[in-house]
Amino acid sequence: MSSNQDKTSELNTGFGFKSDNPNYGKITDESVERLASRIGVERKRDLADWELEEMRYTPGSIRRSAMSQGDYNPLYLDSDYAAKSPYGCLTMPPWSLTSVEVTNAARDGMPGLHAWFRGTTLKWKRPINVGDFITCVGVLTEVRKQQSRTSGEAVVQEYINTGYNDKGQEIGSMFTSWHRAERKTSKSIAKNQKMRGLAEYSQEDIDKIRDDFNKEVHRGSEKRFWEDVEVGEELPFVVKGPTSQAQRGVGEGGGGGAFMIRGEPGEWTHSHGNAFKLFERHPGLPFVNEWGIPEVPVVIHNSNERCQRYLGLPGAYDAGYQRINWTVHMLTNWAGDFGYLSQLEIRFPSFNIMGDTTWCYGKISGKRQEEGKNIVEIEVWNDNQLGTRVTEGVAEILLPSNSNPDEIVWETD
Amino acid sequence: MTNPIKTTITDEQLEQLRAQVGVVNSSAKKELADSEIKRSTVRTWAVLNADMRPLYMDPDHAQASPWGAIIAPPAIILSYERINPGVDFLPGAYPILSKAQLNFDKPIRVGDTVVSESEITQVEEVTNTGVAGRVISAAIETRVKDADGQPVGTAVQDWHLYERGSDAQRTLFAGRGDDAHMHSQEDIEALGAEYKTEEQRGADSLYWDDVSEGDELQHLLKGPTTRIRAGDRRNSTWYWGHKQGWDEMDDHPELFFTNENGMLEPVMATDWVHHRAQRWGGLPGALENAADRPNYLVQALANWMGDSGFPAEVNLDFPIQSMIGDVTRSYGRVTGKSMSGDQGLVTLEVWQINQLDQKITTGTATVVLPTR
Repeated sequence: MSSNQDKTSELNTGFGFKSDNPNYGKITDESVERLASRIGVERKRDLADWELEEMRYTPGSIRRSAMSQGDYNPLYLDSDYAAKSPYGCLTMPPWSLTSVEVTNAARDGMPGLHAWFRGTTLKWKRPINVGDFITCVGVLTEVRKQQSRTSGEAVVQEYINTGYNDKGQEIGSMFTSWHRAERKTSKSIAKNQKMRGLAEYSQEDIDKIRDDFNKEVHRGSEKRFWEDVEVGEELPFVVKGPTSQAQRGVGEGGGGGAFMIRGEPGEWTHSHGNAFKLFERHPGLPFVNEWGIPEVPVVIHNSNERCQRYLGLPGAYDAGYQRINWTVHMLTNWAGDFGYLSQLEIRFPSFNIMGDTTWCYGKISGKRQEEGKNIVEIEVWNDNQLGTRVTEGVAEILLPSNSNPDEIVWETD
Repeated sequence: MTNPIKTTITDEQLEQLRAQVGVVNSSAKKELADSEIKRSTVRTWAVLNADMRPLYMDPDHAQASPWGAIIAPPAIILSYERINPGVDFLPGAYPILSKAQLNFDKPIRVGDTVVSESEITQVEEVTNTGVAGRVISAAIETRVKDADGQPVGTAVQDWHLYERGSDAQRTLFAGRGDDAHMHSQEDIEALGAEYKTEEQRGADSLYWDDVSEGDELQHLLKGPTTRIRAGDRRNSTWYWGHKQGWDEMDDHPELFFTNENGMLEPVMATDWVHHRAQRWGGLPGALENAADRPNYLVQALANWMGDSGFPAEVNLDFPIQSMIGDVTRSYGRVTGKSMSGDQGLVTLEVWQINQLDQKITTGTATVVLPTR
């Protein structure tokens, strides 16, 4: 097996990123200013009418989205059940609001820089139901330099994206904040910091995770009233993972959903002659892989080995989106079919590395009635198998009141 | 390196597989609502295979074609196989596609509803005497139909299932050096230039009358492949995370290996990237799915025929497997012509060659061309 040992040792070498542009992958005043010139410019997906029609959510796309995150809520999977629910039909898991993100820092400005998702605030107004399609508008709102503990000089990029259903009604909005850093800088700092290694589980650990999966509590059609909620009450947790290459393939793709492959940059679906054309148009985009082949950088994040090799990180960190989805799963389990998740503000203080397990927790931190709405405030957080807090934030859920038990708590017109 | 994953194929499993011969697996009712071929379905397939000809992408162009509408790349019927050899046959075995026979009855147009049924038609042990490790051949016939039950096409795929960690499995990599799929900057630049020479006949019809025996097709280049190419088509089928992962482990414990985290993961996840195939399989790297090759070949035929031609039959053998990172060139040469009723048929010898000049595919094709 010496040849394979040799091959494995090659993981410490490789080609990496190449560009003739001396400023490629660097933070410069010019590149920051160029990006900042786009602040306030509205961006939309240039979709034709036929494309929008074909993006309508179907029972299949809803099922794939739910299953990709391990959420078996019958509101998403069972047409008969959903028809009798207050939704009246199958509905998309609320995390699908993240699909209104028109663009993000991973593909907007300063090519060659590393992009980390710092956090997001999601605000829901209306459900997305089977048969709907959504359109969206995104705006870059902030570009600023700052010093980072982990990566030296960095740039923060922020966006606000707003989504609309096919009737033109706002379904909600997504604010995102991103951290950009030079790859070489983050690599050397990561090395010096002796960051943690990959997750390791004993059989006892695995058995415990399995037991925790079986503790999931799904409230479903049993109505939860605002008056019955007490501050300090803890929500039943959900556990997700350990993540793996097999899981992440669908988990980060959202199971396909209504995502539409158009053959454009940013979709990461380029192969054969299309890849050559793409890299001719965008020579700064690819890295040269272990076998000398140019590839889009996002694939580095698909395996622990590549993140170790090219980024100096302990393993493949996630983009953060799955933690949003999992936290939404925990919250909607508690809210039941008559409650409505209206807001989630979430930050990602630590990496989630492929192989990690994530426990999603929540605790009632307050409740109030405002403008006819019965609002419950929830502190949310995710811990990994090391006890490290990888996610933290706050959420708000609308509940019906005893005084008006048949009220639909979300916007219906 | 860890010890390679080893799996075994028992006589009992083989008998269970033989008992499946003739059992038909059909489209589930719940899938019917999503079985319409949309314009975006065709575009996705076209983009993933880098075959974005106007007949698949441009409704105005397609409307003026003999088909009157956008049609799907014919080899899309391969994606309708309803049995997963690596899961449903012999859980944990290493599946390799060794042959593919495709018959095309009619084009699939945008708006058509397409359903399918698959059936194991033959099971045979093909273990090579003198090489340790069992190999089982299982042929799956997939019949693709429209909403009225009329045939659209048939695909017969012969899968070979190897015991993992066996000498037999390693013979799949025979004759390859460790750097066989390495490419220099000069290689890449030459490939980029070669891609620009691809010609598509398009609306300019190739007539049966103008074809002569010995005519050669312009070869078609594909690759070098990367994991992103290998991964995309799997996205819709692998849900093995979280709770479903645990459920699958209960139902099929033999499908899982203990990964670098000490967690159980489907063993097929070691087959998708070189690093994992090396570490967990003790192999030189990860193999391509040969199911891409018929698609490449049909694309080369389409380039030569133009929009008016349509494949009738493609029969391919895959004597050599490809690794992710390989380059595939598809070739064809006319070997005969005939008339069947008013249809002009042309038969061709077809083959594919990798960057090592190995003939990785051999076979024949028959196409239907318009007559003058």
